[in-house]
Amino acid sequence: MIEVKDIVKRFGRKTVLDQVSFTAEKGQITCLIGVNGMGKTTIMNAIMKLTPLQAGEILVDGEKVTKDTFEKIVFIPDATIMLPHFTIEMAMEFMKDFYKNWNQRRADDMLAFFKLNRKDKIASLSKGNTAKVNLLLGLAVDADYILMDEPFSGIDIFSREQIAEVFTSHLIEDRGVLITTHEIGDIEHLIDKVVILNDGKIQKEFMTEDVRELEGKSVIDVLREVFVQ
Amino acid sequence: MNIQFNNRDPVYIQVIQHFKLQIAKGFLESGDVIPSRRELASQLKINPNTAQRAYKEMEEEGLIKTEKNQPSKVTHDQDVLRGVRNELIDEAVSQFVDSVKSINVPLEDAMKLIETHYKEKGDSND
Amino acid sequence: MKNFFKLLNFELNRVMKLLLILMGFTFIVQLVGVFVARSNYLTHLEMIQQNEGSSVSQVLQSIGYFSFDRVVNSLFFIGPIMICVAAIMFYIFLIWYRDWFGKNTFVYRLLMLPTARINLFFAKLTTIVLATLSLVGFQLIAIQIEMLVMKWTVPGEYVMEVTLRQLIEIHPVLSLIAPNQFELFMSLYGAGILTVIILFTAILLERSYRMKGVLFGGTFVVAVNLLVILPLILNQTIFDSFLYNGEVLLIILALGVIVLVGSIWLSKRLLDEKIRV
Repeated sequence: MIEVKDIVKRFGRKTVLDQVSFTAEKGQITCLIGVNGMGKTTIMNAIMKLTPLQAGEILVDGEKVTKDTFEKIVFIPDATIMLPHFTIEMAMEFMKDFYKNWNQRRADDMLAFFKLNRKDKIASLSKGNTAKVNLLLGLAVDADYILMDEPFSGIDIFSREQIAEVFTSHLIEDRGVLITTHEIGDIEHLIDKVVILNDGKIQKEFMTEDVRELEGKSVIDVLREVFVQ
Repeated sequence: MNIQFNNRDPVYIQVIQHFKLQIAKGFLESGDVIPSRRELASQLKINPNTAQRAYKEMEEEGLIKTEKNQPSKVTHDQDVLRGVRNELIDEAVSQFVDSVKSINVPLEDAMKLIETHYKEKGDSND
Repeated sequence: MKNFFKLLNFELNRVMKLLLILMGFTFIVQLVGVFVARSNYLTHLEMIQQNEGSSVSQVLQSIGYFSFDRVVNSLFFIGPIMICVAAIMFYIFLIWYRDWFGKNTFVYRLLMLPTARINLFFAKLTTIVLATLSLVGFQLIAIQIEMLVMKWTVPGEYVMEVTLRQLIEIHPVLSLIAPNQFELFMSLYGAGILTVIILFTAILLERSYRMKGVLFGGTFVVAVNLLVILPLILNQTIFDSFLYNGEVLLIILALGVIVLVGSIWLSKRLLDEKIRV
């Protein structure tokens, strides 16, 4: 379980995260939704210790994040984070070199599924294919938790469909997934849990099937209630 | 297999509904092997947890059976299967009755209308 | 440890191209320098011979032997060395900043590797040191080749051979980059490495605190420099040369070690807790 506990983040005078707490469970897809602002990405960066916090703490399986945590939690940001002159193959080699949990067979499967060419240079790829390579490099690590920042933003519809398909596959099964998005549309049926972030605060944290079953509401209905008020 | 999900009903209930429909129509018969949870999730593009939950509910209702290390199968229990069909018909009719009653249609008129519409549509099922 | 070497290997690959270009550039320009010096000398020689038809010894008396120090004191020789020095200085900053800038922010990947982040620091530091040493090493080999070329192209009776050792002794730049005495070599390169470590820490301060970090970084560099030379200043002013030079040096050495450890400790903390992508 990823536990975010009362975290506070300020950029200058601006408070981006104000006592934010929530959890993301293993075996579930948790979606962090917010209409705007950098809060969502900041949370992910904070989990990976890529930005310091003013207060609060983050635990993964009850422990603070250290270098060893990075074998069991991977972060897939929405920008390419490989060297542009690397080919996909070189990028995979790089990952294999550093991650004990790198699973080459899985990487090869995804390469085929996404129809990517291992000799292609990362800099030469389309936005959609870049996103797929990003996803591949993250998911091929046998990690327990996966963080994805806006995996669907700014890419073509077919790439989006392919990526959504990944969520229903064995690539995700049994892992804990935390994704951020500002548009829920594509993935409403895929997610187990929603955490709504607005103005740096958590507005609501709920299980999607629960609100459908108990309140007869869609995720969008709940979002509307929160944001339109 | 393809389901158009609506967003306001629990997805797992919609999945169960889908299976019941298949059984009622006779597309799924007793003893038929149904997809694994994982296969179902990727076919319907839903979360594997949701597929898991739908199967669990269906098992509890006795609709499907899973023996150790075997794929899940539709139950052999004919009573249950008949029950599914009756349940669906019952539900549909009761829904229909609710809506015609709410606009004060007399039973006779309703029956006549049913007959006309039924014939118009022929025997195509779907 | 294994991850350190992987990172080192990775960083070395990234700097390799730059090194090869610098080496090629240095060698070619210095070789041009050899030929320019040679043709200057030979023009002189011809002029004297035409005018006076003098003997070898007479020529040597008027314009001297052709020796390699005619080459090393020209811009053709010193220029490329300066450029290499500047390139290394520049690379000390580039080796960090390029991971943050550009379309691909590689620093994400580096900071998320399942390895102690200080390994990045050491890998980058070692890369700078090895790059410098290989440039110096290459320069020493290049000089030998350049001397050979000189010997082949100038008539032997006018050539005065010098050894590399002699050359270094008389040359201000060469004696600085490749001192003959071991102690001097160690202290120069020790001070150099310490400087790189201090600069790295300043860079990490900037990367952690951004605008404020520039101030922190600048203050840090000035403060540690003052600290290290403080004994020298104090001894010459307040203490009126109470201590011998050797003793002052010893204190400076001790302070250097303290600064080294402190700087690495601070860098580790910054990388682990304060760094921003």
